[in-house]
Amino acid sequence: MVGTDASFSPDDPLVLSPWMSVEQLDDSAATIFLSSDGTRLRIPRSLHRLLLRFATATSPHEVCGTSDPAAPAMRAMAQLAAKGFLATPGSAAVPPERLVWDPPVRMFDAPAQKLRAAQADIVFLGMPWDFGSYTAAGARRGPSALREASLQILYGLDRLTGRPLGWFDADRRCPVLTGVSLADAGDIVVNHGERHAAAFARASEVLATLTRDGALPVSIGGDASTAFPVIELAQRAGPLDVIRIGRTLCDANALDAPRLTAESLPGYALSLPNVERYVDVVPTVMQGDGVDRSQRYVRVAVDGDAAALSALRDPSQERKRVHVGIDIDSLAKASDSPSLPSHTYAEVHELLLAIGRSYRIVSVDLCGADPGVAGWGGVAMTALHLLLTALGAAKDPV
Amino acid sequence: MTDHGLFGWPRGEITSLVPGDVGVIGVPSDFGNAYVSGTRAGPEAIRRSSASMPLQDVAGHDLGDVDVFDGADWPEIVERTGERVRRIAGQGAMPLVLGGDHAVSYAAVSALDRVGTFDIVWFDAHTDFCPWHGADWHNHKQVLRRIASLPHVGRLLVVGHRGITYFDESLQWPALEVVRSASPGHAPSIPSPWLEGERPIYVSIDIDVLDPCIAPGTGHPVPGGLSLDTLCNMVRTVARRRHIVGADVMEVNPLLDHEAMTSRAAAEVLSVLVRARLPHSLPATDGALA
Repeated sequence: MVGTDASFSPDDPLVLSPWMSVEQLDDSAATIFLSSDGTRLRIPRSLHRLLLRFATATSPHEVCGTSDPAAPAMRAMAQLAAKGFLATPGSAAVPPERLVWDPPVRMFDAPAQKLRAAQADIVFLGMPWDFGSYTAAGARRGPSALREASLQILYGLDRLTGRPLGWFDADRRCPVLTGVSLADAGDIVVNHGERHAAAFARASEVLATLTRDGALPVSIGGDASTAFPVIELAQRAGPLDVIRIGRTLCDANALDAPRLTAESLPGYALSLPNVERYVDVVPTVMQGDGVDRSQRYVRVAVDGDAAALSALRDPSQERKRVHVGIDIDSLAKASDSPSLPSHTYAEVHELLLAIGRSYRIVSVDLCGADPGVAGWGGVAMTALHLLLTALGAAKDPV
Repeated sequence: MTDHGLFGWPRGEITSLVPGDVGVIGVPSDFGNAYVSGTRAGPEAIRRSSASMPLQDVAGHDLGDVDVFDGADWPEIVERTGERVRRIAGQGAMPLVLGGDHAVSYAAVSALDRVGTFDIVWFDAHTDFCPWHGADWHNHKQVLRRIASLPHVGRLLVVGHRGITYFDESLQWPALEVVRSASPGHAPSIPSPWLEGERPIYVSIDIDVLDPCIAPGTGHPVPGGLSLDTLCNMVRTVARRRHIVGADVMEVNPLLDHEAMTSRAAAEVLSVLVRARLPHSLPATDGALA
């Protein structure tokens, strides 16, 4: 969370934050904006006039004409200081680190989620990072492009009760996600040039805040490595299996790679204390390794042994916790070469439903969406259909 | 504009048509799609793609495009399109309309009121049954609901509906029947009652009925669509068994296409339709219309 060091005292001088600006001003009100963290407030014009008196360091006592902390003007100043519009002189030259950017539109037009514990059942976080794989160039634009495409299938609320309407799966002839609330927290800030550890630590911090009250986190990449923060978060709560649908070739060397990439994601995930098994589900034509419950890293082919995924579960346990990842780049698309091994939509749709029946899905990532590919509209709608299918499998498995 | 018409047929006038011919018009309109434009270039893209599949064994004339970009509003475009369709049918020929967004189909269907009651087979990923409240305007999401309100329209069959929707669209109209895109292990087929009877059929093909891997060039793709073979087989079956009163192909958007895959698929399914249709002409509905 963005911090402020303006510990408020009526007699200690404060100064306007250099990151404050006025977006709108009329006779009765002003909209003030803090570019360091995106906070936006609409305040009475009289309060705005008082605020401007902090252009040079001044004490609230002097501006408000009282030191009574219960006085309305003093309470307002304390709130503006708490939000960062007023700062201790000299303290705000460097803005506090901003963790997320607000997207221009939100996933399915769901409500925006502020950087605090989400009360929604599901919360989205964009990970516009594509430095984890040479071939993923363009995927940094995946989160914003998927949000734009998602406006074709809007999230809706009952006008009387506020209950989420959900959708209807015409293929299965059943409602999906009825009563399940969604929120979108925006995109993780990526400072290009920084190490992945810095960006991903930011993501971990944000995800931990957002999910503190139990929301199911959904990471929208980015390349496949962006799944790591949400996997790391999910395993904090207990034993976890990871099932990722893709076609990344992972070999033994990659499991011990020094750098987090799409290829080394399994190794990084398996190094986490509570990740018990990592399953890569690959297209039919790629060879799977078969289902071996003694192995922590398993590769299965979707049309062969994926049906036996449930055999990986310990039958003595109730539906085991699982993270589900979907690499959209591995789905068949119009521009694919016929020789490229690809998943079909129908296979992945069925697989997600099967996972929901056998496991308890506690987190989801969707990655590999590159709006620069030919036929992006079809790719995007495929991704969004599979995302809603995965979320339905998590929240209303049948 | 291409020199030759669809399938290499000559460019012509209404008077060129004789009973049994196919009369082609293009309607380069995307007035009915609020989300994305580009289907205005659909008719020309389909004609270009059809150049590699000439149909010398089927008689047809391409009458060119309806004027759209001369300041006309949508009701005027509907009227212009309807007038052309009426005149083609008046010659005893089969009108074949190249879209354009799917809202255009209303213009063709409404203009065939003198044919008598006919049924509609609507190949589409969507049912196009969003609420429509009786205005002059409708969009491509409402078009089948508006068509259903026409007194000369009988039963409606939507083939290929699928995906995530807002509600159960298959229950929107008593005379509406829906064949879903696929159930595991089964390719969809035309229900047998739809292959019998004397009542004519209008066939409308929204190219998004195909899977986006086959037809990416369309504004509202939905995963899990039909294969081109499956679509062609169903169109062939209908055309061989029922009398086709008119047909269209809609929602081809070349701006979103990849290597003309979508316009080629559209041309291919149209070639199947015109080759397979029953070898009798429509009765000339009214000479005065010609």
